[in-house]
Amino acid sequence: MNDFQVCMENGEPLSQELLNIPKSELQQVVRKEKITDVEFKTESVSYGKDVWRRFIRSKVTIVATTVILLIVVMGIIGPYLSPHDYLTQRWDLKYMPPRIPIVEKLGILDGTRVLEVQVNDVESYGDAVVEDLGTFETSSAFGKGIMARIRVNMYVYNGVPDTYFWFGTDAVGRDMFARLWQGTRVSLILAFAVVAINLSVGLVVGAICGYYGGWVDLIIQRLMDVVWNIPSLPLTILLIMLFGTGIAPLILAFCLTGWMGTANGVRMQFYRYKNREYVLASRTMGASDTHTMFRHILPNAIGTVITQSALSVPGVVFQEAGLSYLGLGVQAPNPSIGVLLSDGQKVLMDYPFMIISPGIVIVLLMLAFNLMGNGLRDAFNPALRQ
Amino acid sequence: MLKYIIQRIIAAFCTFVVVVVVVFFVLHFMPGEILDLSPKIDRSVRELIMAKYHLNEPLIVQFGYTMRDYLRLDFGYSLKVRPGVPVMNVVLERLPVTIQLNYFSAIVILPFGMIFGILMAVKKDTIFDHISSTIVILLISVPSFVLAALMQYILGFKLEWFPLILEAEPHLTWTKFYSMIMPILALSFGGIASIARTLRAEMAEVLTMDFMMLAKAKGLTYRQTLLRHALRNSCVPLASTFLYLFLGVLSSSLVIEQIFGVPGLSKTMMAAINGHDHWLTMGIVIFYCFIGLFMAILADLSYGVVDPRIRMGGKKDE
Amino acid sequence: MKKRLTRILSVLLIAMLLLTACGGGGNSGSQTSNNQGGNNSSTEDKTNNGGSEDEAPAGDGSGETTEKVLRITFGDTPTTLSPFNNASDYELVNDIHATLYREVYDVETQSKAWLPCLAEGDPVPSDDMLTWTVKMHEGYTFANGDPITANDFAYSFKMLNDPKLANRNITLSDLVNGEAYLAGECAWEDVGFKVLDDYTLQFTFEKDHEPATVRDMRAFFWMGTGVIHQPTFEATLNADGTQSSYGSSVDTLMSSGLYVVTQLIEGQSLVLERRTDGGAPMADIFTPDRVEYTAVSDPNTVVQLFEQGKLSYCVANQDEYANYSGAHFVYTPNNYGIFLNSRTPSVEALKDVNLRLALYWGLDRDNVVPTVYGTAMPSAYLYMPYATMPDPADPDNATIDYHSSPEAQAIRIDGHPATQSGYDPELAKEYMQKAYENNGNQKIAITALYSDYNDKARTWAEAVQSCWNSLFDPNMFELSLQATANATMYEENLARTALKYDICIAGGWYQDPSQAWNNTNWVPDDSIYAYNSQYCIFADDETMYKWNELFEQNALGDYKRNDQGKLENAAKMEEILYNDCSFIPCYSSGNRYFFADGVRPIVEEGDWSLEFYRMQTIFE
Repeated sequence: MNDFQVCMENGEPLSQELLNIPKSELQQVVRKEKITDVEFKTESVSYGKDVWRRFIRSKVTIVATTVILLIVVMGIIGPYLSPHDYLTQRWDLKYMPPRIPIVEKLGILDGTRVLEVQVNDVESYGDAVVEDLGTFETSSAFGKGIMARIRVNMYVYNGVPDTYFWFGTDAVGRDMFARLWQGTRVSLILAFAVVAINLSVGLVVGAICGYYGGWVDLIIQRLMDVVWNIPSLPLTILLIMLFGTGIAPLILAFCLTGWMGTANGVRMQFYRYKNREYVLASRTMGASDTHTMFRHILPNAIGTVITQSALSVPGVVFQEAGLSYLGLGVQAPNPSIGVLLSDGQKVLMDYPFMIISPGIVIVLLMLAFNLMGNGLRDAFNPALRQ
Repeated sequence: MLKYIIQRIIAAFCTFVVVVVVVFFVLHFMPGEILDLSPKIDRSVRELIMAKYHLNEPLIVQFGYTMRDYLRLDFGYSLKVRPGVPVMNVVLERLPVTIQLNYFSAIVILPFGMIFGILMAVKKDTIFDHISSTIVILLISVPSFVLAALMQYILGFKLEWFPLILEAEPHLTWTKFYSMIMPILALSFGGIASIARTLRAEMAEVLTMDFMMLAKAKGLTYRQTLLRHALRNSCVPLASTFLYLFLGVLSSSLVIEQIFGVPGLSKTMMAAINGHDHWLTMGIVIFYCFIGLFMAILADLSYGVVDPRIRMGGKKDE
Repeated sequence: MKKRLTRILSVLLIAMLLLTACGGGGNSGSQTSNNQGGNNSSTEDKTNNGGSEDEAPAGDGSGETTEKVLRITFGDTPTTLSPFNNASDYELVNDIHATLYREVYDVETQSKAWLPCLAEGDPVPSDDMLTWTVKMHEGYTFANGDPITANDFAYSFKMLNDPKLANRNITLSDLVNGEAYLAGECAWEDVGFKVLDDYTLQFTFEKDHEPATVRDMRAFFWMGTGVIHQPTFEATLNADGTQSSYGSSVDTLMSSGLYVVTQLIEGQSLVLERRTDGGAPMADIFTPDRVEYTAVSDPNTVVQLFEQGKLSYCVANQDEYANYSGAHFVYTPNNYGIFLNSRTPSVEALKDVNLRLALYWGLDRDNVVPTVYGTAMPSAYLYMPYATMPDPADPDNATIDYHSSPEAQAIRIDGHPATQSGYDPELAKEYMQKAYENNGNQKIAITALYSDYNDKARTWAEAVQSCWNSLFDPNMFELSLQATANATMYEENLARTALKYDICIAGGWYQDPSQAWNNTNWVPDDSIYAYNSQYCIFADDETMYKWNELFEQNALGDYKRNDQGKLENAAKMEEILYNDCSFIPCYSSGNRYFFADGVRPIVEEGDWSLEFYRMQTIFE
């Protein structure tokens, strides 16, 4: 402190003159008007608002969210938009290709299929033949010979030239459009239910583990270990054997281990924050455990947890699809995206349209939820706060 | 460190025992009879077989028998899926191809997943990131049974580049490896995508952290900061992801096994569960559980290696 | 730090490698020198060769130089090749393990017949038909050259029925003291089975369990009695003789039949090769030199393999192949249909026969069945459409078509004749109206179980539901669906002990087409001789006992050898079942087969139990 010297900018010591200004010559610089701090032009922003602002800043995120909303809305109203009901079966109209009015004029989705038939059989298709694509020779194990390739309007061929199935029909002649959205509805209900349960159970258990630690944590962790270490596929199959298939057993199967991820995440966050000064302060001031946990610590974890949940929604849809392939999906006659996909996979070679529409929906769902999840993650990341 | 490992092993062992007990009772409480003998079989024969496997006795006694055998490391014999063959042999004869497949796909997954992840994180919010994110999500969002069937149809059937199904050869030869390419790829896509995604997210977060600024400030090149600091820190959650990926792939390739005719463990497990071959189911579940616990310990240890802040054996709470 | 990471990773990799190596059993790197192109082309060569062999015109007639290779798929490799425990691959096991008689297609009589395999001539019965003597052919050997004698059969038979091994395929109960031996009450020597000399065997049956005909006695020697090789078998026994791994790999079995196993990759493939040592039976009947089985469970993969020319024949049930020419069909004698639980406590209306008949007549089988199962045969008959009965007019056991017999034609279902289509919407609505009125004008709402084991089963349930729900007035009747696990459905829901269902849209049973009346789902308890699966229950006990009386008469009593009486009883029994209407028959399942060029089945339409007699396939 003794070395402290006030200097001029160029390093020279201040002149005596400057150091010894008589007090009378000094004047207090107070303007006539009352001086206050300059008022912030911007309003004060809460954390939530800030997150929201950052969330809507990214165009990608907005698009993703819109797509999700759109799919959800279609899940609600979609089945009613189609002139056909999702349950009505038309056995004479199996596997009809998609046909949409107006669009069909463009030559796509016009209800036609390219068929490979024996040359002699071409006549039997009559008016339905839209285009002759010539003949070719086959020599597969199914037989040799000259075959004709023709594009046939299946609607004309089946005697229903005025019917339109926008996305085609399935193996028993049900409208794929109605079924697709009904399936989306079922899959989304399943996914949201699973995520909601996982989220709440995970939050509570994770909070308890992380906050109390000690033997409570130890016991819960061991229990989780046990459930976690039973391989999930046999566990799911066993559950479904016990309770039959259907939405409820599926939810149970997905939730049995699903909440653990959330719980672990929350637990980690609690570990990290519970000894911070502000938490100690809150505790010192007599806040209850619940208050401390959920008011002071949880907000730190909520970002990660919400992001995780958003990302796990399509995961559930996806897992359900896998189970459907193994015949463990939702209850008939309800479709789900998984059921539609696995039905489509069986006839992939011959009726690709069966898999395309549910395929697009699941891809869109995955894409949108992931992009939205990324957006959420960025939005919740305090380092990006402005 | 050693103390910590021992603690973990003891904990894992306890878990293991509980899992075995739980699985035993869950399986035996399952509806359906263990012996689905044709009704044509006489009652005396039925009694004979029931008595041989102690099926007439109370569950708790059966449990006693099973545990006694397990203590002697005798896992019993398969009843229906491979009659007369010791359970461990059934697992072992199905294991090589499952492991080969997973091993190869892990080799594909790791570098590609990491490269994609790093590139995407570095070029975050550029067109490259968007395109590859989309591709990555596309790859995870098409269920493996669709992807596998498509690959088989296009690459195997239409183009005839690869054999449709796994070549039947007893040992791993080049021909067999060649026929494994499609299942390996089908298995890998999901893994690559999930590693890339996790890495991108982690790294993007790490890159915004203050110490990255410091690293830059102390004069490290961009590449150095990326590899030394960013990657190292992003790998903390990834270490377990990768290990669990092994485990996940090990147990969930049933769909791919079905499509490509791979004689893997999942197929046997399904047959065992559906056929109520409880001894075999137990054996396989025990095996998976063992691998799972082993991996968990490894993952825990690997945290210490990749994350400088985590030290083993320290006090837990402070 | 970095070093430690590397170290841990490398330890991991080594662990993986070790695991791989352990299982792989020394996969040496000897093959790595092969380059991709070379090896690839060699594979192609192999398949091309195969193809050209198949297509090669049989110029030199006998085809001594070209190998006749049969390439086929199966769902999975057999659980075991041991005749004692295999439960499903009868033919395959018998190709390797010869029995005394074997069921094959007999070219002479143009029909399926049990021909002598290890035996010589017919089994000879005593006058009371209780004791049968079988002579074995001399000169047959195991694949290693050891001769097959009566003692080898005796050892096999003893091991098959060994109480300690408790094999699945035990075949002793019909013999004298058989049950007692299994229960540990007498010695093996007391059982009604003796070796008379090196090539003669004698079997003594319990009264009422004796074979009725020579054919029945031949059929006694089914898969389980395949002859195994004593030293090989003993090597596979565990220390206390309770388990044997015989037949689980190439090294643990010895062929006594025409084919030896040269390769068995668990879960993947099985290769049989024909023995050329001259010591094997049936060499003039079976044709292939080599049979390659590949395990493929996905039906699309099977068809793709076939189209690529890698299979001799395939099943293609997919709709797209419906119009392809050259299809061959096999219908299995199972009668699939819908169970109605007429004694369910939860739906009072099901006790009303009018509702059951409404459901019977209201099912449009001719449209529903082909929509879902393109290759199945719709049928509303309780006995399958191609059921036969012994011809009463012909003592030589020729058969007649059951459904065209006057007795069957006379059957009336509540006054209406039974038809194969069994669809009459107006009649169905009439019955439904009655049922509705009997239900106090209350809407009848029922939940039906269906099995969730594959998408077809689900679609079937949906189609049936749609069919009924669209036919009947929604204010009167509504059906909803509930899935259940296939693995537990029979025991937990359908079995007589459970009966936990109202309607079950998944189920059925095998019927022997030659004695279709012998479908014993309705037998009141299991004390009776006939085996029964007991999934259905009569609406009332009186009908049940009436039916059972007829059944016992046919199976055990007066009509055992009275063909006319049997036929009359069969028709009466079917009529009772129709009118009770606790089961709605729907279809017999079927498979569509395609054969590759150069391979031809010995029969045009396949047989339900032996499909196309694959080991007798004709190579051209």
